[in-house]
Amino acid sequence: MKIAIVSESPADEAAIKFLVDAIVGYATELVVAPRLRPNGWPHVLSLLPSIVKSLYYLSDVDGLVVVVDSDDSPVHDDSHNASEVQNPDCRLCLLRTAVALSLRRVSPVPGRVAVKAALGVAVPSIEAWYRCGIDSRVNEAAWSRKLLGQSVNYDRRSLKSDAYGSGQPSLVMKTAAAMEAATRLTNSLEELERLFPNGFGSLIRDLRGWGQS
Amino acid sequence: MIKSIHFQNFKALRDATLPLGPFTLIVGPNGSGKSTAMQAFSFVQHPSQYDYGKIVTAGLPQPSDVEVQLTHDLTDYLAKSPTSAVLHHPDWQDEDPQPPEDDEPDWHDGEGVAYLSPLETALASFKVYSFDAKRIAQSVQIDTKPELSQDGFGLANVLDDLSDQEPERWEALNAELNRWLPEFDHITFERPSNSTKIFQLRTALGHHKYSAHDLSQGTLFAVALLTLAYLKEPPAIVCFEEPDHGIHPRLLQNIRDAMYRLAYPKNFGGNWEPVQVIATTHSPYLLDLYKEHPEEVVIAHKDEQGVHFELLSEKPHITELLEGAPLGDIWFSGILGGVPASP
Repeated sequence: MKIAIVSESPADEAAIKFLVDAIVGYATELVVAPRLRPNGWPHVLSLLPSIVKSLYYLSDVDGLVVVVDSDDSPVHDDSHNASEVQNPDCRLCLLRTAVALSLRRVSPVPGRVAVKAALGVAVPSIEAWYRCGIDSRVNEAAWSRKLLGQSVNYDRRSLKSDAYGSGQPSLVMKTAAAMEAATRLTNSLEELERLFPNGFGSLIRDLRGWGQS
Repeated sequence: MIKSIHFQNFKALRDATLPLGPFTLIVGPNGSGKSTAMQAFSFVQHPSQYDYGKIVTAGLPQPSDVEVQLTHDLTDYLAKSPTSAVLHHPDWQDEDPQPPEDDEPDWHDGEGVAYLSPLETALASFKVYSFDAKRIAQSVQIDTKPELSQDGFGLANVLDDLSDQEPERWEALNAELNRWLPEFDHITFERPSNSTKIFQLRTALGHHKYSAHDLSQGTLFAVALLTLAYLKEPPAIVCFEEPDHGIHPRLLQNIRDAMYRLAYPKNFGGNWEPVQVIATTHSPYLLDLYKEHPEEVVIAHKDEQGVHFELLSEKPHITELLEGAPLGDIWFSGILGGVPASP
C-alpha cells in the first residue's frame, strides 16, 4: 500500500510512518514525491483540498495520513461527533470536515479508487506521544485540565526539551529521537491509545478501518 | 520572442526544455538548473568560449556533444536566424568541426548587405542581473559609458544619464520610487572626487541626503530594479536571479510590476518595445502573485531522471489544485513539485 504523510516536520514523518506500519501490520510504501510539507497548522487546513486532489489525480497513492499538533486548541471528544455543527476550534473536527469535503469533490477517474484517509491530532504536540511510557503525567486528560486552567506540570516547551534532550534540537537530533520513540511505541500502541484516546485513537481507528474497506 | 530553450548535456540540464513567454518566473529547488538555463543565451552566441569539460553534464555514460537550441516565435523574427549552438566533444572536433545544422544568419537589406537579425540583436543585448549591494553603491567614473552591469555596478551613471536624456522618464522613476519607499522623494548625485560620482536618496521629510553607501541592501536592489524598468533602451532579454532578494515581502507586488512594465509596456501606457523577462525565485510570497497567471510560471523539477521544466498551466487538473490556497503555499507544501527532495 502506498501512503502519503502530512505532518509538521520530516522528523515527525519518519516516526509516523513507523507507527502506521505497526498499526496496519505490514510495511507501507511512503511516496517520495511529492513530499508534503505544509508550513504549520493554518496551511495544513487550507492546503488539504489541494493535497487530496493532487494525490487522487496525479498519484497512485492509496492512503493519506495526516497528523498535526493540537497546540492550544480544544481536545477532541465524542460530544463533537454528536453535534450538528462540529466544534469550530477542534482541529480533528476541522481536519475531518476538510478531508471529507475534498474527497467528495474530486471528479471520478476510471480505474481510480478513492484515497483513504487517517487523521490524528497529537495533544498538545507529537512529543507528548514520544513521552508515553516514560512520563506518566503526559496524557490527553491532563492537557484538557490544563486548558481549563488547572495546573499541570508540563507544557509544550518542556515536552520538546524532554523528548529531544535539548531546547534547540537540530533536525538530525529530532529525527533520531522520534525514530527511537516510535520504535519503542510500536510495542505500546494500546497504551498510547489509552492515554491519547481522541488524538491518537482517531488515527488508529482510521487505520484499522483501511483494512475493512 | 523566444518560446523555448532545449538543453542537451548542458551542465545539470541533461535533456530538458524550458518553455518561455513574454514573462516567465521559474521556481524550483537549489541546483535545478534555473541559473544554468539563463546561461543559454550567452552559450548560443559564443559556444566556443565555453570549456567543454566545464559545461558538459557530469557523469554521462559516454562522451556527448553539448547542445542548446532556442525556438523563437517567427511572427517576431520574420526570417531565418541562428537558433542553436553545439559544443562538440573534444575528441570529435577534428573529424567534424562544423555544427550539425546550418545556423548562419541570413538577413540582408535591400542592397544585399547582411545585417543582424532581430534575434541576434536581442541575444547581443541580453543580461542576467544578480545584484550585489556593494557594487550598486560603488562610485563610478564620470566619463564611462552609462551601462548597468550584471551585478548592478554603474547605476549612478545610468541614473545620471536618464536624468539628462529622458527627463520625463526620470521624473516618473522618482515618483515611482517614492511610491515604493515613501521615506525618499528623489534621487540625487554627489561627487566624492572630480572624476567619480555616486547616487543618493533624498528623504521626503527634511530633504536629507543618504549616500548609496548608507542605504540598505534591499533599498539598493529596489532602486536598481526600478531603474531598469524605466530605461529607454533596456536589454531585449532580461533575466533576474531572485529579484525579491533582500526586499520586504510587502514590496513584492512592486517588484512584479517593475518586471511587468518591461514585459508588457502597453499595460503601463507605454509604446516601447517589450522586453522578454525571465526571473527565478524561492519566495512563496512572490509566487503568490502569479496565481492568476500559471502560464507565466515554470516549475523546475529535480529527480533521479535529472532536471525537467514544467509550465504550471500545463499541469493536469491545475485549476482544481489551485483552489482555496495561495499558490506560494501550494508550491511550498510540495503538491506541485519543484521542492527539495529532503527535508
